[in-house]
Amino acid sequence: MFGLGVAGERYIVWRWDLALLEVEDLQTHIHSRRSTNRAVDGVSFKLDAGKSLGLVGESGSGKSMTVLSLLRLVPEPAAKIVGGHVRFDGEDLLAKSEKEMQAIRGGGIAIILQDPLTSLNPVFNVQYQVGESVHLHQLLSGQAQADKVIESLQKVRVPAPEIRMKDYPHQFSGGMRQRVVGATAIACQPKLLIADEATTALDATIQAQYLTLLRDLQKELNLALLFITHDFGIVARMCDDVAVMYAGRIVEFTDVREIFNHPAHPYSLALLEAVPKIDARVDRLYAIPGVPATGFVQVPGCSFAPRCAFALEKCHNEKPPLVTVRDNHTAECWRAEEVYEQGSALLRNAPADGEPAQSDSANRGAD
Amino acid sequence: MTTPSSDAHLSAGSPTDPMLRVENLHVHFPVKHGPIFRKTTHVVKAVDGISFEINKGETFSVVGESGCGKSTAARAILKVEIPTAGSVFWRGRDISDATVEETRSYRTSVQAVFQDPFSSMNPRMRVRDFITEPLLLDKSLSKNDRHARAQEALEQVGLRPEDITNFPHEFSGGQRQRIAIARALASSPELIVLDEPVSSLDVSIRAQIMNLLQDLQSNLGFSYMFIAHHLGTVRYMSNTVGVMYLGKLVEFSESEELFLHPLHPYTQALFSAALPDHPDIVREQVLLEGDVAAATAVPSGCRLHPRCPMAMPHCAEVEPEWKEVTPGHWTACHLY
Repeated sequence: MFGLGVAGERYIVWRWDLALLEVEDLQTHIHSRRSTNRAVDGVSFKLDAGKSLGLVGESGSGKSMTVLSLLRLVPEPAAKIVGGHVRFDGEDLLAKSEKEMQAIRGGGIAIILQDPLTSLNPVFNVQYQVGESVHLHQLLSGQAQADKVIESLQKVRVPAPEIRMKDYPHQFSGGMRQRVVGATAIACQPKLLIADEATTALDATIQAQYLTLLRDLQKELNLALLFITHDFGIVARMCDDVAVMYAGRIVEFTDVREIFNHPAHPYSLALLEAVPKIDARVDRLYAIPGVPATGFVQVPGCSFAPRCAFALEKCHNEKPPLVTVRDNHTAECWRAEEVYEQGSALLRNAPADGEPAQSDSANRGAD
Repeated sequence: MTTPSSDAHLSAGSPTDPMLRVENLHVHFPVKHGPIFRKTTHVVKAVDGISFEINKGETFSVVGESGCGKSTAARAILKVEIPTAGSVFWRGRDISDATVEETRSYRTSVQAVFQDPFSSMNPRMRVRDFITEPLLLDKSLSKNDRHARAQEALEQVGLRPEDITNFPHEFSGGQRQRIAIARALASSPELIVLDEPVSSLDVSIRAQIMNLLQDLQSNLGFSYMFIAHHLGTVRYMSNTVGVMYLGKLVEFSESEELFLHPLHPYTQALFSAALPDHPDIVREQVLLEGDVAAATAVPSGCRLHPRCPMAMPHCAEVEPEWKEVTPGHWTACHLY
């Protein structure tokens, strides 16, 4: 799939089989007066051109910080990228100057954020806002710029774009607004489109339309899609690969069918079991005890161990290894093989002392 | 309706009456314009004629997209909005013409938990004051009684009684939602209105809160009116489900029946738009065209007809009747 050779500190890359985006051991820390939050604590993943990857995690897991880091948009000076490599299209983004980064943001990499009302400026019309990125990245102006705006609005299926581009954001419905944001994102033919909870604020039927649109755009423009989400449903519907994040680390990486059929990390397994199903009646949900860990607290062992139904003594004391349970399926867990083999059956027979099913009251101290 | 009984409870009506009955409820909001003679230019028909019942110990869920009127209906039940037409009956007694005493007891019996545990709490109030505030309605309780109740409620939701002196900022989102539930529990309610109680929580915390709500219900036997937009959550929590579109109920049924045999095209579209539980699940697409109409300009006939894939010519003219298609399964659609 890709070929990498290491010569000293430098990577020699064969372009023909290069992954579009490679993130290696990325670390971003947020410093406050009292402590340091290791928001991104050694994240590595790859994304090929035209593929889609879902980055799944709860709040505080570091998924948005990862995205901000690869765009070099972390809120400095409090937050700092302290290590790792981000290689996009063969270039090291962390070594670039601010000016070069500006060309990449919105040019090679575009992003759609959750709330279209905050990503759009209420006092400028849509033509201006979509046209702005066209003007900056492709140096177009006048009629050429307007044509480009119309073309991108057409691509995101905004009806009558010649007329609607004169409208202001408040004149659009929520779904249409998010389409306008999408038009801004694809206006400069990016290779990678990041959707950071892009459909969370939309209603179910509008969300379905928007996801279908993103799928179509991905095919038309050969986009790589990076979905940041907390919803496994989006992953099931949209992604080829999935990375599950917990406390700043990717704890499991695999393709989408594997994660649903054979999760190998207890966190992924528990998360899948904690979501009520639409297509089947569930009698009792598995509730993960406690609250999600963040990068503030450093533990000697696995950060999920305090909430884990399968935790052993060593899980609390030693960092778990990265286990490859199958081709293209890795999990950071001492018991990854067991979890992979036995799955939810193992969760049902979890040791009684944890009592995860009735953990609501038993583990309230951790909540 | 029969006369109110002498005790403060609204306990009139026959024993066969459902606990809460909503009949033909309308809540309209006039939109006014003009500097002096404020003329009503349009009317937002947030709730436009809905009827349902909630029985003791049951969970009735309302699903629908934003703006369908589900929260307004809940607010009318909480007596926060005054109905434009129609009534809410509590144990057979209309709450809109209840006496002050009766209203007070009604407000103790019906409690609410809202979506956002960060904005539903006053940051300057201690947990103790937050939980005991509704208990002030009951004049027979002393300060110590109220505190004892609050501590008991905190324990029931899985927090420590010592937490009672803390401030909201000392708790996580999940814990705050537990405190909100404790406040509802403290006045020993019979019905709790849950307006999107888990939507703003993390996935792993959602399951904790939903399981807590179910445990409390099976132990204490109260009813829920559950408002949600996530269908999996609704299927997990409910006994009966009503689907709302533009201020009207379009379908009502026992929960499993609804998920297995959705009748109304809107319900079918809502289900087909739901994200799959597994990548191998491919839903049959029932696509609605365009966006929800504005509640100020409700379409004629069936409200869904401009968007409905199954629309027939007379859908635009005649409003479909609310009818029972199979026992206990009601819908309003010309197809049936």
